[in-house]
Amino acid sequence: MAERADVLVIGAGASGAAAAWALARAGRRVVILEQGDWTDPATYPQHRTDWERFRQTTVNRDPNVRQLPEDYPVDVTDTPIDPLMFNAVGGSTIHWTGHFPRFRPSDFRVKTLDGVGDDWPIDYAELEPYYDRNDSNIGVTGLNGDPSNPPRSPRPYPSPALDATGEAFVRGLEALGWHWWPSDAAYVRAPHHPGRAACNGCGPCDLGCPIGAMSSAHVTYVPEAVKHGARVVTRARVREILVGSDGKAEGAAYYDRDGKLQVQRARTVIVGANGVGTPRLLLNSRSSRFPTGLANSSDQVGRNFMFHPVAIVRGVLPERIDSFEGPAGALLNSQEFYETDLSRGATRGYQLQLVRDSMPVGTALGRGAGKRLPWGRGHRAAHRDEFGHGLTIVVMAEDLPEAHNRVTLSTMADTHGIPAPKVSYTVSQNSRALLDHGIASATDLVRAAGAREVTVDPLARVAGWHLMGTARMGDDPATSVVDRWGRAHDVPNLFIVDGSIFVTSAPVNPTTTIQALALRTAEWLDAHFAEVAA
Amino acid sequence: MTVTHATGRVLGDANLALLEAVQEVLLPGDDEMPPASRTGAARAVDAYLAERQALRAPILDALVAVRIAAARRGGAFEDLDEAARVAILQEVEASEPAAFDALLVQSYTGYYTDAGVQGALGVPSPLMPTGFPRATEGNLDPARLDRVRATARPWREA
Repeated sequence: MAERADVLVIGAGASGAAAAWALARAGRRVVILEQGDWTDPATYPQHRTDWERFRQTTVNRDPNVRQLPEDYPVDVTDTPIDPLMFNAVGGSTIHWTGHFPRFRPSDFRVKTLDGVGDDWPIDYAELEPYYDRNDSNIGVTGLNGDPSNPPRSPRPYPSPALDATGEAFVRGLEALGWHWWPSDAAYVRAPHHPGRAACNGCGPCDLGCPIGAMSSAHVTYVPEAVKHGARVVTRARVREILVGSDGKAEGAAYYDRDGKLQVQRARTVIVGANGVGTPRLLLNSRSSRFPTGLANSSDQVGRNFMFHPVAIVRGVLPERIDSFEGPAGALLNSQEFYETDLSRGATRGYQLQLVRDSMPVGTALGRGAGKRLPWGRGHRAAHRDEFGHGLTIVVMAEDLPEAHNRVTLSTMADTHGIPAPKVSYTVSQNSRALLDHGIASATDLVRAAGAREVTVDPLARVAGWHLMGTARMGDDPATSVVDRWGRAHDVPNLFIVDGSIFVTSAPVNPTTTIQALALRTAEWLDAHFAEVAA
Repeated sequence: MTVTHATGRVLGDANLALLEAVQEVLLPGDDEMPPASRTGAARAVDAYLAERQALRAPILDALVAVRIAAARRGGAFEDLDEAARVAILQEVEASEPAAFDALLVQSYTGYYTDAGVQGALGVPSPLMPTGFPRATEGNLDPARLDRVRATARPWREA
């Protein structure tokens, strides 16, 4: 049996890695269990001529498509959106676009301001120093001074000049008089740490960055945590969190890479297994003391599941703008429609995000909101008219918590016989209204930029990037799973640090908020370790 | 590391020749771009089949359907004129949509991952180590945002 750790971290993705780094750096003995393996950027597909086909196979973001040994199936028979994730050291930050916007202050007071959802037990000011620390730790590119967001510190790296794609986006927004700003983006423009080169704009960040320019967890927090003594156990699939007779977490039982059941004991346990994997683990950790799953006396584990429902609008410009070049998802955004305006027919808001357009295969297949190109004599002309001409806008709506949207256990199981998660989800009327308004806005935008043709995907199925809400934070143990520090109400030495603990989702990508929360929880745990681990 | 395509062989000579003939119709090329027959597209699809068993049935089904449709016209697909070949593929596309779609997706993938095709499109082959450095050159001029600073709605205090 392995030595008892001070802190057992389950999951080496964005949140677990950040927490592990902070605690290892503070001198705690940290063990990380990760069901995936290390990946080597030098072997990523962009080094190969046939790189684009790997989107269909081993680096697809959908575990049900990849079906790698380290993946678990997700039952998606009851959801119009597929949850996406990656199982490896670095987690889903490997196959990621690094778009890094922060929540606004109003996002923490949704109930008070708009009468929907719930308020968070914390506010923006409490989280702000951790946002800053995280940006500095991992390396973020951006520009401070956006009047639609609270002031923030100068970004570690400046935003690059507008390229032809950026100019087209801005042309449309300036014509309409709408807000735009360069996105905070989790990539570096100069060598940052050993092994991390400056971004060379190769494009498909979502396949993993082959030079470490993207600030993914496996090139940022995990190696730093290891330097401080953290031990990473890979191909370790956790079956359940173990609980002692005193009701405290004692560690975890996991299957090692040879399929043997092992036990890692620990004085405290942190779960960072994403908004689907975390409730799955808690629900699978049933015992006589916790018959409905661990930390689930409130019956909130798995409930209030939120995606960011996404629509995609693509305008085809007359001129070629080489919109496939450069960082994939982290370019420019418009937050013109961010805050509530009931005249839009919905409460809360959405973000318009400029993303990169498809490469040659994706163009031919009509990836995103594109259209499948015809075969035969007309194919070449169609490809010439589309490739590099697309101005693609992601409409990302805030999703509100609803108890019936949830993660439960499926009759399906993984290769170890552990019940798989089932996602049951419907797009609410409010989210649908936001998307519809966003589609109209994005259509106006690409038309104003000069698009001669517009195509729309009104609800992208393969867009379940953000998994949130299934172990919500709150002060009341009757209606929430963890407290303001991410500590389980029912299990005093169990913490959750991934997107599960979100109370509401805001209309922006969640990773910077996830990592800020993880750093904050880790700092609190370190300061209170004797009490918590007693 | 630069590897052009996966390796492996699933299709026999006859099916490979048929696939090449089918791809010639799907992706005939023009003055700027090579026809599929002058690329590694067919062999690439063959290699994908070696890697992904789930692809074999639909693609082999599609090829069988092409063969049957050609036989109804009294010959081998490869021996028919272009109009007849197009008519056969349209027929198979309608009668076996899933199989035809798999064939088309993999043919497009094989074609557009060919180094010569990528080069003709102006895409580095492979992407690394060159990338597109111009996409991250220079810094954004903050003055470009003067209008936004003057007109943007502030965030809500909470």
